[in-house]
Amino acid sequence: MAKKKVMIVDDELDFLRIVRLNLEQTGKYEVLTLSSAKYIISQVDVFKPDIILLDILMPGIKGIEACEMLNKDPVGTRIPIIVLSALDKRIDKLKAYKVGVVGYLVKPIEKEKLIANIEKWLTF
Amino acid sequence: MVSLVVGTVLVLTNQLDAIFYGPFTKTNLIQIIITYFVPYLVATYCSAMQAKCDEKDTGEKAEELIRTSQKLLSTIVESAPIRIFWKDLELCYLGCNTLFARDAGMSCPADLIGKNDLQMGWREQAELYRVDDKQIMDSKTPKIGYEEQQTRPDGNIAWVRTSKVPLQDVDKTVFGMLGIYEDITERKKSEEKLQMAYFELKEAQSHLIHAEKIEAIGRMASGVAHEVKNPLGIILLGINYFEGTISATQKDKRETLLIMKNSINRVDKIVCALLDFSRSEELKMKSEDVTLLINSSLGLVEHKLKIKNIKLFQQIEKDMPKIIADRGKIEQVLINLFSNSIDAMPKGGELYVRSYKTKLDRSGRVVSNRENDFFKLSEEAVVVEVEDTGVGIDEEIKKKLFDPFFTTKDRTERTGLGLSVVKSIIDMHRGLINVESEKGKGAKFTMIFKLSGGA
Repeated sequence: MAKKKVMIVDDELDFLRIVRLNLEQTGKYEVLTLSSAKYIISQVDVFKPDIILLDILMPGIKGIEACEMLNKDPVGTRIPIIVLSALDKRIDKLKAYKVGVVGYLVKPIEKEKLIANIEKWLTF
Repeated sequence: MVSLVVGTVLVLTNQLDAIFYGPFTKTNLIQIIITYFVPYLVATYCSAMQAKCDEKDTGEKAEELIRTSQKLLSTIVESAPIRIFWKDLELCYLGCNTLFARDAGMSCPADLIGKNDLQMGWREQAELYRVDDKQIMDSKTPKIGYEEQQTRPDGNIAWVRTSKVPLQDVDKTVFGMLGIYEDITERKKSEEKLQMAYFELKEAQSHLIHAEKIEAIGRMASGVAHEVKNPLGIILLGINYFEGTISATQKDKRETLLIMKNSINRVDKIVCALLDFSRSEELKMKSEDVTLLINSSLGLVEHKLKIKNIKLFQQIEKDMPKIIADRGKIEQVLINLFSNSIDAMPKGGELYVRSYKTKLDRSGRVVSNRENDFFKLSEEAVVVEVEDTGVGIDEEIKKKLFDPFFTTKDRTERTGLGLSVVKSIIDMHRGLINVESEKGKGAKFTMIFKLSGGA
C-alpha cells in the first residue's frame, strides 16, 4: 500500500524531527517538514501532501495566513489541515476553524491521538 | 506675696520659652495655657489666700482685698472652659467648678465639698484617681497632660486629658492638690474613626497589592504556558517514539517511560490550569439561569457523590432571577467547589447547595454607594452557597486558600490552582466569594452574583 504523504509546518525544528520520527516509525507515512510557511504553496504543489499538520504561532507567515493562502491555491484547497499548536484559547481555535481547518490539536499530544486524527481525515 | 508674683512670672516665662522655642501652633498654645497656666494661677491664688489668712491681718483693707481676690478667683474658676477641682490631704473635695460638679452628677459645686472619689459616679476609676492624687502630693511633683477614662453619671465612659499639681503654702508645705481636665471624648472618637479608616485603607491596599500580584502571575502564566507546552510536546512524542522501539517484555523500560509520561501529563495539567487562571478575555457573559448552572454542574459530580457516600441537599429558591455570567466558567467554579467538598469528606457526609435572592445590606470592599462599586447597598443579588460537613479549614490555611499553587493535597494529584482559578473567575464576573470554616466543622463557600437586570 502506498504511503500517505504528511506535510508538517512548524518553526520548532526539534518538534518537526520528533513528529517525523514517530510517523515514519509506523511505516505508513512519507513526511515532509517545513520550518516556515513561506514556501508552503510551492512545496504543496511539488510534494502533493494528503494532509498538512500546521502550527499557528510562527515567525513570518502565521498559521492562519498560511491557511488562507492554501485556500486560494487549487491544490492546497483540497488538502485537509490539522492545526498542531500550543495555543488552546477558544478564540485561537475559532479563528482556525473559520479559515477551514478540519482539526485543532493542542500540544503536548500523544502519538496515538495524533495518528488517530490523521487517519480520520485521510479516510474521510 | 512678692515671692508668689515672682514665682508666677518665672513660670510664665518658662511657658513662653516653651511656646517660642518649641513647635508653636494655635492648638498647642491653648493647650499650654490650659495645661500649665490655669492650674498654676489657681494654685498661686490658693496659696495667696492661705498666706493672707496666715498673716492674721484683720484690717478692713485686707478683708476687702481677700473678698476681691476670692471673687476674682471664683470668676476665673467658673469661666474657664475646663473642669477644675481641688482636694485636701485626705483626698476629700474642697471645691470645684460647675462643669466638674455636673460630670460628677451634682447640681452645684457645694454638693461635692467633703466628699471623696469613692462617692462619685466614677467609682470604677476612683482608686486610680486617689493613687495619682496621693503620689502627686507625696512627691510634690505635678502630673501633666495625661489621658484617662471617667465614668459619667449616665454610665457613659468619657475620655479626659488631666493635669494635677500639688497645692503648697509659702513654706512649701503641701495642703492639698489641684486638678483640671478637658473632655476629649469627641477627639478620641474621631481618632478611633480615623484609626478604623486607616486600618480599612490598609486592608484595601493589601487586597489591591495582592490582586495586582495575582494579575501579574496570570499575565506571566499565559506566556510561560505557551513556551512550556512546546517542549512538552517534543518530550512526549520522544517518549512515544521510544515506546515503539522496545518490546513488550522489557517491562522496566516500559515502566520508566510510563512514569515519564505521567510526569509530563502533570506538568501539562498545571500549565492548563495556569492558562485557565489567566484567561479573562474569553468571558462570554450572558443572562443565565443559576438553577440550571447548579444542576448541570451537580450532574457531573453525581456519580462521585454516590461512591463517596455523600448526601446531597439542594435548597434552591423558586423563581430565581437570572444572573450575568459565563456559563462554562461558572460551571467550572461550581464543579471545582463540589470536588473540593467531596475531597474534604473521605468518610462520607453531607453536601448542601443553596441558592437564594438577597438584598445587599452590608457595606464592604465592593459593596457601597460609591460610584465605581459594582454592587450598590440595598441592591438585590443572587447568592450561591456550597457547604460541606468535611474536615474544615483552619485559620492559617484560610488566608492562603485562594493563592495560586497553594494546596494541602497530594501535589502529584493537585496543581494548587483550583481555588485560585475559582477566585479569578468570580473576580472576572466582579462577583464576591467568601469562605467560612473551622477546622473539623466543614466549610461554606458563598458567592454573590449580579442580577442580569441590574446596573
